[in-house]
Amino acid sequence: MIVHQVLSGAGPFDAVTTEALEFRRCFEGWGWGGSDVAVSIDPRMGRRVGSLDTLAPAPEDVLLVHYSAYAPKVARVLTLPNRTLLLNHNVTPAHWLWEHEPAIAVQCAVGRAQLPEFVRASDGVAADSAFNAAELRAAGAGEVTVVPVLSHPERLGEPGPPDPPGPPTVLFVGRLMPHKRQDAVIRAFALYAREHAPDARLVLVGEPVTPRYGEQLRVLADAVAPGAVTFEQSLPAGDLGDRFRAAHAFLCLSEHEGFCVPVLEALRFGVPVVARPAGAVPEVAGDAALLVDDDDLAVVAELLALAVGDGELRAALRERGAARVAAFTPQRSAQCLRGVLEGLFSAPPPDDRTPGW
Amino acid sequence: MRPAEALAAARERAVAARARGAYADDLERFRVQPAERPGLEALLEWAVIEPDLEQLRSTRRLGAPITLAKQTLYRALRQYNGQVLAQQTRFNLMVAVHVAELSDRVTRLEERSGGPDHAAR
Repeated sequence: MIVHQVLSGAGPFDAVTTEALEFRRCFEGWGWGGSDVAVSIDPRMGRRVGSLDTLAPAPEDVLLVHYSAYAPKVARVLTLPNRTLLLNHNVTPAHWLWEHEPAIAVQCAVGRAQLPEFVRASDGVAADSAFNAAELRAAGAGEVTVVPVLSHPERLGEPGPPDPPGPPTVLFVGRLMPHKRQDAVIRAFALYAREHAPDARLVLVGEPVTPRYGEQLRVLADAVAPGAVTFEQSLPAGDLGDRFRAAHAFLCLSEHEGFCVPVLEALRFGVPVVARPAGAVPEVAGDAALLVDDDDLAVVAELLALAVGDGELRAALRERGAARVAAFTPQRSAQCLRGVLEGLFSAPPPDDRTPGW
Repeated sequence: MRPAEALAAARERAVAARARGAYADDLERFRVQPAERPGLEALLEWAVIEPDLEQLRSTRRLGAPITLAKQTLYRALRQYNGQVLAQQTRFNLMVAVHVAELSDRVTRLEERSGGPDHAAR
């Protein structure tokens, strides 16, 4: 079987690209061929992903379209006679981005608006969370297969001791973007540090959506928690594992998440998670995280203090986290993916499904 | 403490802490607000095209020379780029001002007719 993967963009620290490359490793393991192509490619990707212009599928090949943002050329792929699986990774609502990155905001706005057309023009639809599946159904999809994100947290190394040495350290991992609310993380941390742990540290790992937005967050951190916040990006897997091992709590106040792999990674490392129940976070974290939807960041700060300082609570969360991680094995995701692709391959050839744009 | 009790406990502690004067500064002034629908003020601000030269850079590992070349090229074309930006900014501002005037007219008409509900009927 030949499966070609189509992405709107490819970058070395992009979650969708990372998963597509994991898929390719699975395909190779199953003896399947194909290529991975994208419309825009970060130069740091090297030759791991080719240009969409090089895509030349045979009629019997299957196309797997990763839907995470609008890209005009991707729409043309759906006019090909191939069987197509649309995998929805979720498109960030544009209102979070107009102020900071208008070009990406336009892509997001159009991407969300065109989802129904992509659904109609695809032969099969899948999503990496029930939250994303619901968005597909709202866009007109019938049966949606959920293929949980295929990640290998063990690449980050083994978990460390339950209570790491050093000052209380709070961690968040995720691209520095307005909807991920690192601003709220910094403010909640600053309140926690003032009231409970003046020597506490906050580590934010992630590439800024723009240098300007990254700078805004640095200025905020210097204003409210001078010297206590560290910004890091482009970390190799081993170093990222070190950050999880050194963390006493993982704080995620994101307002929109299609899945949120770092929450799962934190659970695997036994790090107590305090999170806003937004998007797919509740279904990923289950009962293993302390979910808080209060706007009052003093409540978040107090919850953080409990997550860091209450031994009984930490032990209970660690236990639940291990069970949660066991529900998201890469083997299970790979099995789901294989099932949906083989089902598509054995289905009759598509009839006329020319998109309506 | 059990996980199910943690949130209620945190809320109680926050209330108690506030009662003794803690969290007086909740740092709300640093909040990032999403632009649900950009207002006219934001449109007028965005109408003026001001590319950030610092963002004109290479993302490659050893990209410093490429960044330098890009920024040198930009400076060399400053006169041409300036014309493009000026023309686009002029158009953007004219459209934004026009939208502002239309918005004002609609508001005045709605007021004259007794509000948007009345006008709709």
